[in-house]
Amino acid sequence: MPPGQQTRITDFSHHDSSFARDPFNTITRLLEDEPVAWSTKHDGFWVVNRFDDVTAAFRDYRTFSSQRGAAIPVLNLGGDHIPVSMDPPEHAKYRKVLNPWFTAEAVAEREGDIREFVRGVVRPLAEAGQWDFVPDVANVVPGSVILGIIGFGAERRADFLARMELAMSHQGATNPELLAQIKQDKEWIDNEILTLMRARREQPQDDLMSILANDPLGDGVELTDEQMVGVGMLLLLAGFHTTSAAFAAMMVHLSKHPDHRQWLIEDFGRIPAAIEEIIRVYSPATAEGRYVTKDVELGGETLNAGDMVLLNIAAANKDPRKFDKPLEVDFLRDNRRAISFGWGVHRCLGQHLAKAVLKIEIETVLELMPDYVVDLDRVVVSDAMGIGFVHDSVPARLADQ
Amino acid sequence: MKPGIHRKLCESNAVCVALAPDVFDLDDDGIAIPIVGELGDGHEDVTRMAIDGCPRAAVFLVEGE
Repeated sequence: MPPGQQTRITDFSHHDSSFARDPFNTITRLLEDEPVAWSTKHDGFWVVNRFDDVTAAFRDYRTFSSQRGAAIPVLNLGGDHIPVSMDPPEHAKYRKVLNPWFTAEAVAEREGDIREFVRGVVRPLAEAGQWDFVPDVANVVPGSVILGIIGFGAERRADFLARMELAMSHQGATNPELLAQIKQDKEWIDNEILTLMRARREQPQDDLMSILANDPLGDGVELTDEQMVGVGMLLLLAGFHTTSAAFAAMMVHLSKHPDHRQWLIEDFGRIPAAIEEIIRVYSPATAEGRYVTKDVELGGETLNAGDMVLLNIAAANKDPRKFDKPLEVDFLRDNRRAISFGWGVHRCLGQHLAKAVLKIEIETVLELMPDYVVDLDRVVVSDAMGIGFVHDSVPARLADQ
Repeated sequence: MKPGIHRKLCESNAVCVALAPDVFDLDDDGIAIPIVGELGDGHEDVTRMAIDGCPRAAVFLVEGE
């Protein structure tokens, strides 16, 4: 429902280029002037910005439901993602199937293979002498890793990556030709998922699809094609753009701050905390959408049943009420409370995998090309940050080239 | 009833802290810890949700005395 007379009205949309071009000032303005405001974009939605309000909403999944998906507007690659679009207790059933594949312990067992793959990606770049961190590393590694976990062979990866990249980087797109292409790509991905599902029903292997294809909930019922696509699409998309964005942001940051780069080179054990700080400031996941199930007060506003709500993670993580000098990157900061991976029952399934991929990527770069130079004048920051803080291009070279 | 965390299983997912902030917190190592000895009024429901929500099944309740 539209707001009352006293409600703050905003024209903010996370998909607007005005946000992408000035994210930090926009966030600061939202936090101070529009902590909970009604946006007139995307058919109307509440945007919630302060840390305490955002975490309170994440916690209260009964009032702030996921059943209409986690995106505003609905994702162009489909909105019925499982289990992102579910509430407890349904949500927990699927999480329990997926969780064992993504615990820190399970991820640790994959680190050797991931490291070997990343070295295979980075070494040729060091030999070539110049490259672009976004297409050449950031957009290759996370997608390849998750495709491998699901069970897609290496030969399918390039086909997947191109399609996922196009759709995810045009989330707010309205151009009919582009939308037609994305629709076609979605059908191609759906078909790939279902083809693999049928293959694993015939002959299970040691991969996640073999679990999902064969009575995953243990209730004697196989997933429908629609459910399978819902799970498969989530697994493919969730870690792709986000992990890519975090890596690119780190490469740029370390170029602007040689002291920070040196600090990490001296002790790779400092890298995990540095990753947490980079993703607090350069949010790879900007925000999550929820749907209000009953009238509720939040931040002095009354939200009505039926309203859509955007929980602004990027803003909450820079709330000065929670984080001292919030826009400053401080690798020693205590980030246990940062909500870069969301908060509550939907907190990112793949966070340990993402952190492992990032750690290995950063270590490999600092090993094989510690003096890399980013051509900062040619760095391109995306005009679309509705999904996350994305760089479109981070051209780099070896120092002595 | 007393809430508990298996420290060796906990991987800092903090689902319990989000769902039951009056029962669990993160310690200096980022590991979840109970912050009450006995569950107070209204804590049981959220603690059971935390038990169900923990990706590592690290949350438990000791029933009775």
